[in-house]
Amino acid sequence: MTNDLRDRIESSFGDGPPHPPIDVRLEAGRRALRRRRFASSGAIAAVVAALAFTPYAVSRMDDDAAGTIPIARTPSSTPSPSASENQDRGRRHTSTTIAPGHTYAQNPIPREDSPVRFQGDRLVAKHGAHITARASDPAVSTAAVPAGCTARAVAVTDAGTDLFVLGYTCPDGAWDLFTETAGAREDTLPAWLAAVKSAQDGGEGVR
Amino acid sequence: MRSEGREQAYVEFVTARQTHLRRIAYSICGDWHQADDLLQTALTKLYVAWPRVQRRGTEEAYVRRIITRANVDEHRRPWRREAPGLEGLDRATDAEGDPTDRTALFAALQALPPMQRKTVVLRHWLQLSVQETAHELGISEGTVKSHSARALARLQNVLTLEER
Repeated sequence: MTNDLRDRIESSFGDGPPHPPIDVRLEAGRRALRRRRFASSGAIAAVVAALAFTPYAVSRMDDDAAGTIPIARTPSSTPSPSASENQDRGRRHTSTTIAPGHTYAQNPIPREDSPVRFQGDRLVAKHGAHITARASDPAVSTAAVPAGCTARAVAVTDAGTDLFVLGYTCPDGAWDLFTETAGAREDTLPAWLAAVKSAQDGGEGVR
Repeated sequence: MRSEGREQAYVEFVTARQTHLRRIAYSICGDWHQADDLLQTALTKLYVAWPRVQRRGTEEAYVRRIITRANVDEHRRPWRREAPGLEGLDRATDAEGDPTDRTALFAALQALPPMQRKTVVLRHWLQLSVQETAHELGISEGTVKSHSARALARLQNVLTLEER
């Protein structure tokens, strides 16, 4: 009965119309993969940005508590800050601006906007960018870079902005780039890598 | 390089198995266009998960499960419950090719409730075990058995008529 039913179902309908070209299936898959990677890197970048912004926010709260930069968090009857105090606050914002269009809270730069990309397991500069230093086997945090993956780091200049990039590629095709403007943490590539590793060991993601 | 290797293996799998996988989708939904959509959805998800799924060697089971589960989801959407067309009027000819391509057994299979139909497809056509069928459909083994018994009883009439 079972084999008979199997055969009868098997022969109860045909193969249907022709399939679409394989390129259609591939392109749909590639688009889905890009969407997923973009979504995951965006979410993680948001978390990292929030983590990066936290010390600044805390320090501002400390400053507020010390009375150096008073901020009215809730409506009150106290006078508004004086002109000189506003100037202080303006300088504070200016000092956290890394480059035009990039503020501290916006670091790290999304990997799609990174000035470098992977070619095999080598980082190469995108058009207009120049790699100024390389670390071919940087010490990385195992909390951020998956085991078995190859890490690369470079210092790069793009449109007058110096940046540091730490990336990895994995045998299964996974990859990621962590890009920050130089000076956000440290001024040299080795020092930046050490700072990033320390942060990642403490739970900050590379992606 | 790795991406090319990934795509080559994916293409080989899809080329070899897409006809069989679409027939599974068709046996569940009874419409080639919807079967195409179901298969494309499943193959797109497979592409994204390819390294992990290929490592486990479960490519076909992965696609099959998405097809059956996606179809479950489609049937849960309210708009799917609406009856298409105008009641009482002749329906347009199906754009599915030769109508003799489908037998009375297939028509009877399509007349079964969705879960009974899926149970027959997985259990009696693809020859999965009760346990595997339960896992793929996300139901208990006891439910698989009862769906199977009820479906076979309903198909029995057709099978008997075809034998005459």
